[in-house]
Amino acid sequence: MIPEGMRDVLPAEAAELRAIEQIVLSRFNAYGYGEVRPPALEYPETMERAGVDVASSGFHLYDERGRALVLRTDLATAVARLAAERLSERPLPLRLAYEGPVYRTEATHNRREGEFSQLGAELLGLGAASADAEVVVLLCDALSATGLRGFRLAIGSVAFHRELVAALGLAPDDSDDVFDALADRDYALLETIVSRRGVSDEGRKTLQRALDLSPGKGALSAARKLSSSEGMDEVVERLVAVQELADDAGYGDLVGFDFGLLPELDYYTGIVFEAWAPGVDFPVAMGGRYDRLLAAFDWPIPAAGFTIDLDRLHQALVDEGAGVAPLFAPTLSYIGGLDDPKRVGDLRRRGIAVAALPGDASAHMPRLREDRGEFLLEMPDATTRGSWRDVLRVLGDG
Amino acid sequence: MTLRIVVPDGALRVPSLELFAAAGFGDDGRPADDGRLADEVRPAADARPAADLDARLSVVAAADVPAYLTSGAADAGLVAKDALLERATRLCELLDLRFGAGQLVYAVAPGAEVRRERLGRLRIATRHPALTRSYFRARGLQVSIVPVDGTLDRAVSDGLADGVVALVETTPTGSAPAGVAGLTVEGVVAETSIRLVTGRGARVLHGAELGVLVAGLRDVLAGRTAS
Repeated sequence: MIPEGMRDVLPAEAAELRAIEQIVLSRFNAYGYGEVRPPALEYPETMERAGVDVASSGFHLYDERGRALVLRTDLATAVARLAAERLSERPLPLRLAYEGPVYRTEATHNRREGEFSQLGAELLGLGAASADAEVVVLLCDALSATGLRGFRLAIGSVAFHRELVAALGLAPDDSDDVFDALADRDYALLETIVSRRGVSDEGRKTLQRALDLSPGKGALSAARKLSSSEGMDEVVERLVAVQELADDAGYGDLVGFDFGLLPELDYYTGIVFEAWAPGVDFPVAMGGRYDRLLAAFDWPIPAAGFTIDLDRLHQALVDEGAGVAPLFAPTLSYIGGLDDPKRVGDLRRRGIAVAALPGDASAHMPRLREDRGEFLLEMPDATTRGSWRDVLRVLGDG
Repeated sequence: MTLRIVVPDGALRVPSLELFAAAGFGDDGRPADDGRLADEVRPAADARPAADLDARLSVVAAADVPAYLTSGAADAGLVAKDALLERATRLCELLDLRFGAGQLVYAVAPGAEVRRERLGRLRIATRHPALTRSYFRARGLQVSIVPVDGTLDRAVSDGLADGVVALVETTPTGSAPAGVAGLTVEGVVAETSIRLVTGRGARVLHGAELGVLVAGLRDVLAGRTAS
């Protein structure tokens, strides 16, 4: 029995998850992101600085002096805390990567798992559009490296909403309603609000165009036409720059723009993005710019980053029919066992998994045995007879 | 690609399919997996030629539509607004299709006020417990919610509850709407109508196709309003 919302991971799945983790972390490393490992337990105040409702979403416990602790609900926040406390003397920018499980109570989020693994990268200390583009490109690179093909990245901007509401001349109350409607993706309500509030026909059309469903450069050029203030110009120019840099990196086709994108967490301050793959009920990855989070830890520097949902990424790969090369190779059973440690050792050094006790000769494993001076390798699809060298050739490098 | 659209079974099936047929989507609105439709839905005489969009309609239980969309098993579907609110789904509403319109009203039996005075709280029968809870909580009223599947006014007449939060068709003001006959309407909990809805993933992955769908349906609705 295990608690509700928890689950066990068995060898076949674990091997694939481990392989994905290694691919993604190696892509993070290739861009200069160094791994950090914050602890599983944090103080609730730490997690609350990101605006997370820890009281209802966290698993709480107490240390021996009665001080409240919480299992981390989010790694990006824990990494921001770690960076502000431990790395604030280092030269900027800082590139940090992380991997590990986070814990949330079921009642407070729209997914079934109480524990799930995040893989993420954060670029601290740069506020430029090129930094936005770097994390977008890194995400595309890392997801592509796992073999995922059908994913698309939708990019929006929190700043765009702010500027849009200002441009339409809505009162603060109405603008809250518009934000809520956008956050709920309630476009029908949005239309009602805007038509009720005496926004000009012109304004309504531009709004509709900006929230148009067609992703990609179309939305961006519509936004350009909409641009009526310096603030809006800046937002749009920034997104154009991100698009161009993503194009240059060869990921332009994977990137689209969606001005209806508004994440629940209000710590984002600029660009926001979500990566989606077919058949998955939750984004495979999400991220953006959060220039105020580090300030909440008394280190006011800009930052951008993203988090990949390891389980959703794995699910998307399985749905796509993509093979994930597991690091855990099928085990070979070597009959002859421990009385021939040299041969067994030779195989294991080559990365071929060997179970070598007499009881290991189960029918579903490939079997290797010695037979009158030669070796007999019985695989599910073929049997090879020959010298030790022949055996190694057939097994390849594992 | 083919846009997979799920349409709710039951009372909404025919008007839903007629709308798609009028917009020229999905083989005259006839889903591949539902033979009964041939008799029920004929393409409108003024049906537009099918737009440049490959859509496949299929009919599923109304209550299952949100799950199809959330999971990505379908790309678009029709859901009543009250069901969206009740389930607090994280789906995107694309368009108000304006049929199936109604109100979720709070209505009480005669004499309920006396019960409230003496017992402190009323028993409210409803098929929308989540919406009912938040409606009364927002007003600082304490009620005891009785979730029921059957007829709501019967729940009152049989003494199961003192009032209801029930879905009624929109009727002219003043007249007691069917469904809460004999009860006094005290307030409106929510307005509802059928919405074109998509999942968050489909919106990103199939935004262009959904745009064509929305534009087509919008045109039909505009034509209906005009005529």
